[in-house]
Amino acid sequence: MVFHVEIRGIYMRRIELIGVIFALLILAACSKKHEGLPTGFKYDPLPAPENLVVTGGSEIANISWSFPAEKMSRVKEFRVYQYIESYNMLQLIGTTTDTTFTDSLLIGNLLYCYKVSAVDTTDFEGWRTNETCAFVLGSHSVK
Amino acid sequence: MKRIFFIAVVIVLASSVVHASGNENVYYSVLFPGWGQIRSAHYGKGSLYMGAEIVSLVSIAITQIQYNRAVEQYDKARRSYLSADYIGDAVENYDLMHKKWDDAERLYGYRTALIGAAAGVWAFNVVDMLFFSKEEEGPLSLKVEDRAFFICTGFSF
Repeated sequence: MVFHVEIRGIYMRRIELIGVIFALLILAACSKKHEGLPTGFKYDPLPAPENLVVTGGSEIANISWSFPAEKMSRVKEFRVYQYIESYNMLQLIGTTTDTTFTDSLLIGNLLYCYKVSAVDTTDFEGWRTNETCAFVLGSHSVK
Repeated sequence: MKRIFFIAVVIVLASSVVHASGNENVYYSVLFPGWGQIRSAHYGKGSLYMGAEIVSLVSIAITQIQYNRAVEQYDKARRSYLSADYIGDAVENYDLMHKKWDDAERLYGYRTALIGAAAGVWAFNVVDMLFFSKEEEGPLSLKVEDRAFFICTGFSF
């Protein structure tokens, strides 16, 4: 215990030096407290479109919905998604500023499901509707 | 910065007290609780201090790791919430962000308490070493008789 170290004119015994390093390591390990929790919910989303109706045709699906008139001024566009339930997968198939959309070039004799949402002028997408499905006929289906 | 200053003051004060005491074993207790007591043949007390300090330090390390993980997950959820472009993602990340914030707060409290416990054990051990653990004679003795000899050992608590 005779080992000494000089740090800027202060003589320190080895054991004290180790103690200081030990304390500084504990200090370094204990990081600064977390901060920056955003206060309040900052988004004001558009509601989900209402009355979604899907009508299956011959290799097409006609989709229509309604939207509150007082909120139409905030709407930039509507997004139409095809929903594949077995994979819980959502695929954007198109956008429109109208409240109708036609999905064409579909394969017949299959069930197609859709969801629709409204996007506001800041490009923030509001709630999506629940899926609504329709059976799409093939081009040679017996009607 | 305040914490560095506080620790520096504690170290300087402890160092001064240790110098004044002139007891070599106090140095060891300053370095790690219980070490000086064990060197002074107070094995029970030494083990107790050492065990308590090890448990505290290991708990601090585990809590620190969990805290860092919670803060990382909070930061990630916060970034996702602030950059969300769909209300569903925003709500999901907002809830996750609050959950991870609560976790981080809770773990920060645990960690602070454990640091206090470790510091308390250390301070208790130094005071004990300075005032209540006088160096004892070696634990072994030899007693020689006519046809036998006895090796005796003792433990101090």
